[in-house]
Amino acid sequence: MKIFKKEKDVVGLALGYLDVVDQCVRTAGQAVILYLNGDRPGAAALQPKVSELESQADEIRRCIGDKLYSGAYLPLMRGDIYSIIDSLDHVPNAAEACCNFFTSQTPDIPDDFVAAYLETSRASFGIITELSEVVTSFFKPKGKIDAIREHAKGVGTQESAVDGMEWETTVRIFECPTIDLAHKIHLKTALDRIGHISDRAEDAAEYIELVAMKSIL
Amino acid sequence: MTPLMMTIVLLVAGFYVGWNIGANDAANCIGTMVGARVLSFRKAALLMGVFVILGGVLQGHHVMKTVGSGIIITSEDQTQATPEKPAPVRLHDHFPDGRLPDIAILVALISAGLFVTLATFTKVPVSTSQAIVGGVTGVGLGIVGLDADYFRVSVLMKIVSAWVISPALCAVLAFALYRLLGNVARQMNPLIWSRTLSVLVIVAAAYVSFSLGANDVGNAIGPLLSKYPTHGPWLALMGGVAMATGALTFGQRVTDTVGKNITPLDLGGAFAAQLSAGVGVHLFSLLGIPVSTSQAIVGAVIGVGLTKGAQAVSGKKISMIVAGWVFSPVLAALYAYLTYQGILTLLN
Repeated sequence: MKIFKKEKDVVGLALGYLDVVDQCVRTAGQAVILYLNGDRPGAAALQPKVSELESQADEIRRCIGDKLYSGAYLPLMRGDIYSIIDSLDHVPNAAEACCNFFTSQTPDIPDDFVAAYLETSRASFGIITELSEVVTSFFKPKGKIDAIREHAKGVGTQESAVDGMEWETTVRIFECPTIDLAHKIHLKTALDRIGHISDRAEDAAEYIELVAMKSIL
Repeated sequence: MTPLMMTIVLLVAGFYVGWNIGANDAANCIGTMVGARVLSFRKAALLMGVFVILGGVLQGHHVMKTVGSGIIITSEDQTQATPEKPAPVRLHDHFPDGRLPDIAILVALISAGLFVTLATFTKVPVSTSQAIVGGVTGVGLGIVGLDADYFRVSVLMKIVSAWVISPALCAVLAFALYRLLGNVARQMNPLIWSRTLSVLVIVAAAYVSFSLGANDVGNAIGPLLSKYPTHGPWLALMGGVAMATGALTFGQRVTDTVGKNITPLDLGGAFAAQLSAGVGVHLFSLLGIPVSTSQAIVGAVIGVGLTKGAQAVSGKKISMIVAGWVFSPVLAALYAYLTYQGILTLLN
């Protein structure tokens, strides 16, 4: 049936896009965790794959734009869908930037801080699981507004947890007398890079929730 | 003027009124759809044209009959005279052919048409239904003077009551429908809901167009039915085509203007308002009562607004409806009366 074919194509592309974003974020997370566990060559080996997945996500994003431009959905919803994809795109970008930071700038994480960095990384990169649920609930026909809201809330909670870890580790870094200021700033930058992923994920989840709420009368 | 010439002039006048109605009321039917860019203006106007013609041909005869022969008593058949209440004494003097004189039909049509055109250009919202009822009553007054015996007062009262009831009924319907839609929307995926609404808005636009045809074709060519009582379906077709032409040729400006007043509602609200107005107008069309599509839409928009609380309803919109009830028919009647008197003076 050709009715709503363009719309079905957009949904297919959006779910495919989510799949690539998910892989990109998980691979970047894997690289950072390998790095934190001392396997720097292993992390560096994953970096090209992260970049490739990020480029692939960009490619699909452009296809979605073209499909929307061809007239899928009402103009109002068209703009919203494009903005959703655009806000999601910041997540793999942040993941790639974080992976690049660790593999290119090779920050020296003191042994006392490795556990905290690992915990923060797992929570921040792991937010993609909950974000994927938000996106799936929005694009899959059986997805309901309540499910979108519930998972968006989950993303928010996880982001707050990452923020808390980030804050705690930042305070510890700057209280440590054995680390010089330049090193402290580098460590803080590394922490910020990790935290950006959950920040962008929260932005995307909130935007999707907003678009979903607009459909409630 | 030869009979053929008079026939042509009357048909052109009827077409002019239909064209006017189509141009003015296009916004009520397709404003939301064009505003939300569900369909382009041209496609929407074509859809409207088809359904206006269908509405007019299939169900336009009810209102046509009321406007054409239900307001002024022109023959003994219409009087239901009894010994206690005989037919008006000078019935044959005023209406020797047992129907409205050609010149009266022409004045009723032209005055209603000009009145609406004038109102459109000065951006005063008026109802074409009220203008034509006012126009017919005005020429009636021009012929018989202030003599209630020549008017079907009960029919006029029914029409005036319907003008008050129609927007209120549409408001109630829209309120209930919007609430229902709200519950449905919560259970659906936002993207599926958006798709569903785009289809529903098209269906509602088609239905309002059908209702407009059923109601306003009678307004456009009702007075002509008095002269050509056996040509109802053809007159209805002509009225429908005239309205469709009006929508296509001159409807865009009004659609853009009025569309903006409706589309600030969400698409669901616009659908609820249009469908409710369609139901309201259709119902009165079946009862043979000419009502205002514009006022039905405004009433329905108020109904949707009330779901957000009384403060969401603009007092200006309510006063606009109330002013419309009074000024549109009275001014159209006065206009028709004066024009008819002026023509009589000129002819004599």
